[in-house]
Amino acid sequence: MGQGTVTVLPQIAAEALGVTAQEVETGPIDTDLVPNSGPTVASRTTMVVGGLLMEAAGKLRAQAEARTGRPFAQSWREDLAAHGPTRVDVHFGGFPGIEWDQAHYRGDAYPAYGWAAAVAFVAVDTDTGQVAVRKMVVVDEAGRLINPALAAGQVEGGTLQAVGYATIEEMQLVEGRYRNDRLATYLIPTALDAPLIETHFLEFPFPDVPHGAKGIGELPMDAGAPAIIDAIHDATGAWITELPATPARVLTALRAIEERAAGKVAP
Amino acid sequence: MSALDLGAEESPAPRHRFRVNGRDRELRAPGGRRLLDVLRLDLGLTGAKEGCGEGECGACSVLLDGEVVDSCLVPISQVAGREVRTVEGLAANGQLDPLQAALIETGGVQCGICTPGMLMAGRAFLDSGRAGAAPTDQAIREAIAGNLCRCTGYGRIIEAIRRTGAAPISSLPGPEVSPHPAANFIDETELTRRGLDLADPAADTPQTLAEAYALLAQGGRRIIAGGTDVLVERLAGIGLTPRYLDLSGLAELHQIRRVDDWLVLGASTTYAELRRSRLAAEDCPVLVVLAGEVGAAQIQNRGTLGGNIATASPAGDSLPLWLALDAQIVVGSLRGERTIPAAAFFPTYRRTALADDEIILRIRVPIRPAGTAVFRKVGPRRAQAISVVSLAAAWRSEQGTWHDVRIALGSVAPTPIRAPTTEAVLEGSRPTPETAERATATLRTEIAPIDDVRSSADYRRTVAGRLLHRIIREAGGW
Repeated sequence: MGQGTVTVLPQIAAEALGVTAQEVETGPIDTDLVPNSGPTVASRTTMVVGGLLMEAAGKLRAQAEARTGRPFAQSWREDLAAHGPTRVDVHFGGFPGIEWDQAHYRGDAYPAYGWAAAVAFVAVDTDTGQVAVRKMVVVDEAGRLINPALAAGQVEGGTLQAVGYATIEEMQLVEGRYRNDRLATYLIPTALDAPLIETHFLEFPFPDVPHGAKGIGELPMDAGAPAIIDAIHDATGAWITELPATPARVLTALRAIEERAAGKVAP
Repeated sequence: MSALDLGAEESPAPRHRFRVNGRDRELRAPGGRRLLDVLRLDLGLTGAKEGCGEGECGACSVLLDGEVVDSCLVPISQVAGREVRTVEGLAANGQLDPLQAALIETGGVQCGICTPGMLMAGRAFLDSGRAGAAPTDQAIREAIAGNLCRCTGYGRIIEAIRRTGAAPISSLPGPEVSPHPAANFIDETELTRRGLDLADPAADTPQTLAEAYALLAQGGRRIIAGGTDVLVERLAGIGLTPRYLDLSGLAELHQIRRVDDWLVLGASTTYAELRRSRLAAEDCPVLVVLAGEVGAAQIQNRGTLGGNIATASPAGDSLPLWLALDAQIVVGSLRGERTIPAAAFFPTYRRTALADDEIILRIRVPIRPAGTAVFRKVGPRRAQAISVVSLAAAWRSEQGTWHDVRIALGSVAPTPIRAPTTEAVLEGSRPTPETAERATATLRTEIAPIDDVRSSADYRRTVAGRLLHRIIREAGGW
């Protein structure tokens, strides 16, 4: 269900069938219509469903080409007219060496790791404690990229969410209720708060799926905040130990350093 | 609900005539209906999205006479005779607007919720004549700061606007080709109403001050100007009213003049007008700084100086500045006009010195060529932020010594306040490190801020002092 599914999945099917992505029509996204592909977790649609789709498309193509004796791209309309629709079902059978208990929702849902690294450049206003994240340089590895533009878009958006998570976004709960339950009180970064984001990819195809892809969706959220906290420390010497690094927390940490320097508090 | 029923009893609702995407439209609706509801529900133009309904997210952005506004904060009474442009009007003759094409090309669309509003904010910026052929990254960011995007990180959207900057300015398309078979005139009985249990208020639209005074004196009406507070409060169920008194038709409230040694700002002056005012830049440049600190483009285009004063929020951006500038607020009613010093205008939390029948007419700011005034706002983010603490300071420097010092603060007390004890410390002093230390320590004991959803009392007290310290430091050049 992640963003880009209706772009990426037809692209995978088209490549396996040897046709253009425009020739692939996508059905409604509805779990009632398709076989089970395992748990809905960890940005695995492109990897798992994409892999199943590629396998199914390969079988479909082989069946049609066996009937027509010609490449699928040139013969599918003729095959459809002569034989009617061909249905191929492929079921998710897990990954080798990975145990998943669907009944109790336990085990390893994900057979591979994506990797992310981030470098943050920040400016800290030592009068107000405000942190401005100026630039993020991020490198992500998500196996083979199916659609590099979409992947970069996911990484950029996720990186900005990480910036928000690191600096301004904080759910405030009072007796189990959200105190900041509106966009006026739960603030997310505006274009003026967003850093320049420089995105790079490394590609190590995942061998257990035919297209080599891993998930990208949640990955860019992971490295941003630690990098920003590290950058605040690099700039000021202050360690922020609770997210987000609000101006109040930054000021408190800076004051503690000043007081230690003045000998008021033992280090 | 009996008070609210008053509005519903008035029938039939008035007709409103305006243009949408180059096509004349007319419909019957209570004047207080939101432009967003008229577009989406009455006209079937669902491109503008309702994200927050309170001017935070920009998803409902449309152009009103070419300026980007949040259509959730515009009553339809203020749209009569004007031109509305929505995302449906961008593509013409089967051709995408260059900005739409660029947004697709750069990959600046993900989930799509922000996209229609983002396109309109971008288009307004590119057509404003302020963008130039090569708009800067900062200018583009500022132009879309009122449009929240959660997916893209903004980079590709900014790139699309930058690329389009070089493309020709789009012309208004011809008659709209809409997929929605909406008639030119829509009777209210045919409307699909949204599931809000509030009737849209009616609106009186006086064209003269005398008429406005008379209507207000009858009671039962709430004044609306830019709508950026009144319609936000309505969503929260605050200040509900069966009728608005819409001041947008009063030309005399809508001017900036120089009268003798005073800069006179009409109450309906918007922040955008203030930002671009040559007179303000010459006579009181700090006002231009202030205007740029308020909200983002959509709020600056609609929010008015009089409205900010009437709402009297302790966090109201302009209020500390009026105090520090020693401004006067001129109000009027059938009983005549009176002039109230800003320092006496905000007696208690969210209350003003206005009587029920009085309207804010203008703000008078003394022009002080030898004076210096600064305004600093600390908010939780860099645009669309309600201040956590704000500070305005004004003084006259005579051979390095400060005189006529006025310090005012916002968000540190139930009302915007002056800090007279701190002023006394600074009066006759030079901006030295010692002065700064004394003034800062005094200010911290003089204010009594509170903890709330945006910040803590401790933070506010500390940072108010540091803002003052920084102002003194910068003035002293050390």
